[in-house]
Amino acid sequence: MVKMASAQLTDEELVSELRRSGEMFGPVTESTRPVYLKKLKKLREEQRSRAGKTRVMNNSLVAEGRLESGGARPLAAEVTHRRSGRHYTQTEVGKSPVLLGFSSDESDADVGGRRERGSTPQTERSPAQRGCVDAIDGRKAPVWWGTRRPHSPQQCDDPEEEKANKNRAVNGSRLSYCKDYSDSEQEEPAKNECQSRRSRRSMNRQARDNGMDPPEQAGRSGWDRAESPASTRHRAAARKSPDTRRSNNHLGGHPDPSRLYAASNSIPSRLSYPNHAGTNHTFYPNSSQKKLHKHPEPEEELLQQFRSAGVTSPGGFSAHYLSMILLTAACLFFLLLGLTYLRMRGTGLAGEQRLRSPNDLHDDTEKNMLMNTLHKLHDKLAKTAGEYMCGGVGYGRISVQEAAEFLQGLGPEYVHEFNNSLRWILQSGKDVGIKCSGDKDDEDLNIASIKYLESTRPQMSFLCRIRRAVFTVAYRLSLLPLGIAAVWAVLRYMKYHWAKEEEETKQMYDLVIKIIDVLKSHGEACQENKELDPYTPIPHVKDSLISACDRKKMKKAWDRAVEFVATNESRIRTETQTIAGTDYLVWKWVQPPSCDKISTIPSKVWQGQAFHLDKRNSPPNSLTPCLKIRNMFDPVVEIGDHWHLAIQEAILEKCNDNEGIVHIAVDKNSREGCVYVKCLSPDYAGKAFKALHGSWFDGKLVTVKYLRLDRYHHRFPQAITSNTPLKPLNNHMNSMSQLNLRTDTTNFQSL
Amino acid sequence: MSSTSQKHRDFVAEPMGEKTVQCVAGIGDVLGQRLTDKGFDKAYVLLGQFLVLKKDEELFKEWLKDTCGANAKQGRDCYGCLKEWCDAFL
Repeated sequence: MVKMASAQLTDEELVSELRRSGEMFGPVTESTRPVYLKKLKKLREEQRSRAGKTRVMNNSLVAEGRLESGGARPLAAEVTHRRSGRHYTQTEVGKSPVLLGFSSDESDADVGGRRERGSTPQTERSPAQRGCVDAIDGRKAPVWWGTRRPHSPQQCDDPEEEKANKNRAVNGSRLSYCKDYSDSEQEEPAKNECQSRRSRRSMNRQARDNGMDPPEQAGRSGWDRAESPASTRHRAAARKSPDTRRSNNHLGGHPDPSRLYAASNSIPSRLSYPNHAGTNHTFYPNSSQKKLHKHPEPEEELLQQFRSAGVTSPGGFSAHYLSMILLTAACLFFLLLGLTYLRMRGTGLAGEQRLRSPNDLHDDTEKNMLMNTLHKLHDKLAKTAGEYMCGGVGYGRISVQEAAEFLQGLGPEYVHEFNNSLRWILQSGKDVGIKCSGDKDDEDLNIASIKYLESTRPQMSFLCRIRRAVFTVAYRLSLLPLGIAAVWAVLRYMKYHWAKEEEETKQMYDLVIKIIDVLKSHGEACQENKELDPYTPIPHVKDSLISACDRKKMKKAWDRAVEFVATNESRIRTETQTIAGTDYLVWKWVQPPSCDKISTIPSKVWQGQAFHLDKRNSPPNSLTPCLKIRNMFDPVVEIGDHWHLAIQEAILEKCNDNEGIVHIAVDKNSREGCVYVKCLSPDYAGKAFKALHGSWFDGKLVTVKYLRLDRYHHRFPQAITSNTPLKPLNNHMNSMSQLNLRTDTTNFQSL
Repeated sequence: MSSTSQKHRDFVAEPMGEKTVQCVAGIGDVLGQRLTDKGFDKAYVLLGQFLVLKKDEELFKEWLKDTCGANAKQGRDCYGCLKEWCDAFL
């Protein structure tokens, strides 16, 4: 029931419904109405899900709420009018007072009858309400009610008219004329509601279809049939002059006089109805025609939604656009494809078009002939050239004689045109797809000297085209790796060159250091032994430093070292001395010996034990053969590539008596200066531990701890296979020298 | 809360005067054209509708969606823009 009623909500009802639901809402206007309808629908769905049995109560509440909203009603009613018949402002003007009058009337009446009368103007009420109204109707008849009363019997007398009244009343309710006709509606059974709505709809449609169609209208509603003379007349009047219409409105608009009159005489009252009907029907077409373009559709849709009470599909809009976009995209794609194709075709056809264009000058037959000849020639030449390019024929061009023969084969008439066409080709001076060549240059070519014809647009078969394309692509692709290989080779060479240069520089510095060492020691020797020459011939230094097999290879490095010493070493002076009758370039160490002592701070040497390992601080017997040694070096200070070898060497020298070390790894990046050592067995590891732990090395205190074998192998997989004990590379024991020295001195001191 | 758009700030910064409806944040060319077709050509007309709906966010967004097919973000932007303008100038 609620749903049914909602389908025909007037603005007032909408307002009251919204108010009842306790929602905040604004004025119901043309633009806000759909929004509020939606909102109401949502609310109702919620409500319905909450409780179904409160519906009847709600209805009575609706009525009450509507009465309470008496102040807002005129405005809402006016809005309704505008919505239903916007272009008929006269009605509006006329109608508003009615409603105002009505409401004031109502307020004059007793409070007890409020509810009932409040609901009476609404023709489409629930039966429960109507029943209620019927019950009280007879009991309480207000003034206004009384004036209306006289109609009822009369209408009841005429069943046809009653039916018509029903229709009209419904019609009126649609246009908020319901108040005038509500009394007749009350005599109707409850079930008429659906029926009337149906009829209203049909009438609406009718009105929309053809404005007012008297026969059909009459056939449909008995009322129209009964009142046809009057109504047609009034309708005609209404259509003809707005003044009449206005007067009609006033008749309808001020019901009290007319109705009072109607109470005394039924015929005028009848006439007053047609007036309404006339106005109704006349402005129906007006409004509906306009409305058709504006709002009926959305509103109808909304009503439909109410009826179906189904869930709305908001995705409709976007789905519509999506399909449109897809369609447009497809169209665009095909358009582009077509354009591309045309362009390709266009380039292909350009020659023929150009072939054709200059021919316009000649008359038709000649032109056609010439054109045919040229086309045949062009095709033939194109085919020949295509075959030539595909490797089928030996020549891509054909001689004039061959061309003539070819044309002869086609028909004698072509031969006549042959010279003309050749002339035309020469005259055109443009690229027409046929190139003439002869013995002379292209500029002074004439018909006589043309020997060969050649097509500039070879026509190749499809397979041939594909083959050529594949070849071209393959050829170009093969260039790419070549280029890459060239670049790679250049890069490799540069890298090699740089590495070599670096190596040479390093050798040079090594040599310089060695030279300085040699000269320094020689200078010291000279100071002790005055008999020695204070200089050393350069070739001798060279020969003593570089072994015989390396001399050739090291020549370049040596030259650079000599140059470096000459320019950058101030302690060495280069002189020319005569030794054994031969002039030699000699080096002489000129540094005074006093400042010599400070310079030598030995690095990577063991500096003694920090504490003695005894039973108290020695670790238990080793369980693993692996050691981790810390504080062997500081990675920040170390420079060069091979410093870790010096560390290894130092460890091996320290553990000289231990022959079980099989693997040493220097963790070059560790901040703690870690070195990992693997021994043959845990026993060797224990020995190495004792030898290394608590020693001073390079100014740092070395600490050792054991490491599990699996950890070690996890970190240095290459150590798994190493079984051969490592030995110190040389026997100089450089790292131990100072230790020995110190032990000597301590021994000496202790002695 | 994400920051507001430049359009929003421009609109809220001053009285709307005779600005077109496209000047309202969330209303682009397409929505603006649709609204203009429906008679909402100026920003103040849109404001009128906004006020008629009593500044109710849900209703206004619903209305905007129905009227010109605005999506959720456009509706939110438009509502926020008008709301802020009202807070500043009404």
